[in-house]
Amino acid sequence: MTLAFTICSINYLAQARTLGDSLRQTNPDWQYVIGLVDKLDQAHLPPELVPAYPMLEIDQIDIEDFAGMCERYDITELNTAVKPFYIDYFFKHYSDATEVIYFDPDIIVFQPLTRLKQHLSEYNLVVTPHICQPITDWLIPNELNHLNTGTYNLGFIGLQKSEESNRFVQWWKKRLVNECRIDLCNGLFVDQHWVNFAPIYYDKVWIEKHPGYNAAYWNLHERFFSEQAGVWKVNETADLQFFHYSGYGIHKPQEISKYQNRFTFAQRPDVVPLFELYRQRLFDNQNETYRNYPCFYIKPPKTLYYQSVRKALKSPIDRLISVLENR
Amino acid sequence: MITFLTVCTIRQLPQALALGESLQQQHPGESFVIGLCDEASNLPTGFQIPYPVVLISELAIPDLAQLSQQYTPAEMVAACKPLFISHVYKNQTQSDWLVYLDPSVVLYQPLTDLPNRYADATLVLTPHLLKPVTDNAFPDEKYLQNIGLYTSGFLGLKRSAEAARFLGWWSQRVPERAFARPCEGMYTDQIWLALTPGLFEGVTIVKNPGWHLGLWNLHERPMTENTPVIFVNYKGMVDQEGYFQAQDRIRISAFPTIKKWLGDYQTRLRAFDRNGLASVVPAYGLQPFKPPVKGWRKKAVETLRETVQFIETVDIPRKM
Repeated sequence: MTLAFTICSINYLAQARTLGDSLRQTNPDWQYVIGLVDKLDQAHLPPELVPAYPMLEIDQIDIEDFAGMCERYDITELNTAVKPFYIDYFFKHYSDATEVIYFDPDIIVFQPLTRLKQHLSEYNLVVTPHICQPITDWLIPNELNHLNTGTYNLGFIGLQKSEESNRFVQWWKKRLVNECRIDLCNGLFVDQHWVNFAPIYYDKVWIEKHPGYNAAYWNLHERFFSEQAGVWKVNETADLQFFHYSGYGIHKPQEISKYQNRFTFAQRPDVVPLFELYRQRLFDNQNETYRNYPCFYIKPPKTLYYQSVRKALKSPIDRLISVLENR
Repeated sequence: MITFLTVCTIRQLPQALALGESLQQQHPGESFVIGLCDEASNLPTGFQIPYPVVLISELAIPDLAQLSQQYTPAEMVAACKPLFISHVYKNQTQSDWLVYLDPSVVLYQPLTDLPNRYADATLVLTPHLLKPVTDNAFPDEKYLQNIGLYTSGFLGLKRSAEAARFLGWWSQRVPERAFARPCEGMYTDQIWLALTPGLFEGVTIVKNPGWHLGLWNLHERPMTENTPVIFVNYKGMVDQEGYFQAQDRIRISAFPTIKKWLGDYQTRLRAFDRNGLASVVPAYGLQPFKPPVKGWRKKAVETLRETVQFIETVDIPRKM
């Protein structure tokens, strides 16, 4: 059995449902689970907002130091840090799951993923690089941004149940307990940057360069889309497997993604229908209602008082650091 | 046929000559070229480099003075390295393989895997580490993310359209962006290699633990009969080069073979340091080199930084 899952809080359930609907349509024999970083008994969702897909709440999967992780991480960091913990839980508790595939909630799957399934019978891991062709400008995101945040996009990863995959998951888990932060100057970018090590440390990692995989704002420069007889094609020839609407919000429908400034919809009319499709599906899946639910695990922003006292305490230490560093 | 290439400054020439000697032993008959990233007129009088040399002037770098002004000597060599490699790649069309090695490398076995095991590769890379680190010593994995997971002290290029495409891409990006500035995603010529498995076909990761031993990975390299040492990079052990002088994971004395070889290597370096080569100041890369903070200073700085961070972020409720 193939198990596909996503991770989100209640405010993103419209996305998770849209992904689930697309999987049910294209890969009906797969099991789909929503990993929920939120608390249902606090939210009291009315019946029409309860998704038709099983939800597995984060406090149910026995993460050893979950309280500590909540304390250390903001919501983005926390939602990404729990990824390998879910994978581990699925492999341990869903004994007939031979493959586990993670998708970010803001993805639509367009095809039966037979090629992926084939690769997962031969390889331990399948990952998708952000870019398969060089970027020739320095707009955002450029190659330096990818060097800082990770070669592979962790909105997707496929794992075969194997000892080697388990070694990878255990290593990844260990790192993400304390170091799933965004701290570029110290080599950290959530769960994603770590996965640069995967093809080095672990055997049989398939680097998937099929242009229909994980199409998103970061690879639009190398991928052009067209619909032929009801099937979405990439660069005329390849079937679009799944599109990742990362950074798109239906309240800013004129922007392809809040994380990029390379393309406008006017420059890329080919992607407009793909985004219109997504926008409609999010509306149909009650995005407007879900988005108002606050996440149970969000901490109120800390206000740091006594700034002048802090400064006075810091400045002699900063001077000492400078002396030590410069002899 | 393999062409070997190193790129160095004049003061690194003793290392390059020792590398040449080990190549003559392990790969007799293959050619070895030195890219001199320095001013040839600063060579000691009467000194002749006994190998074919590519001079920096042959690269026709339009903004050489500007690059020299903005970089440290190490960044400068890194900035020019892809250009030297591309130059030799274009001119040595008779060889199937072009292998770049740091001047501080010594071969102890021939690279027989290259024409055999890696016959289908286009670009062969050696990772710094092959296994997760299990301690809290320096360098950790985060540090490697900043400087690059694949070392640019070795590169194997099989003559192919993909290798040429890689060289074009790398040479186009690195000369202007060879700064050691991790916050901006830059780290010399090296960090760029992290993108190559996605961008190019046939990128092959060497997982043989006998390849490319150095200060950063001795702890995970068995050096047994079954996994003999193929080559060692003495960077940071005999000079102030590289990114690992501040490492605190290993002591060379714990590795008797390496300790002995290091002694032999230093003897060879002294023998090759004729006419005061090692004291010639690099002509390019005018920014001052700042040696890394190590030992107790490094530990003290880390503790102090943690204290500062605590002061900055500790939650003190306001009195009501």
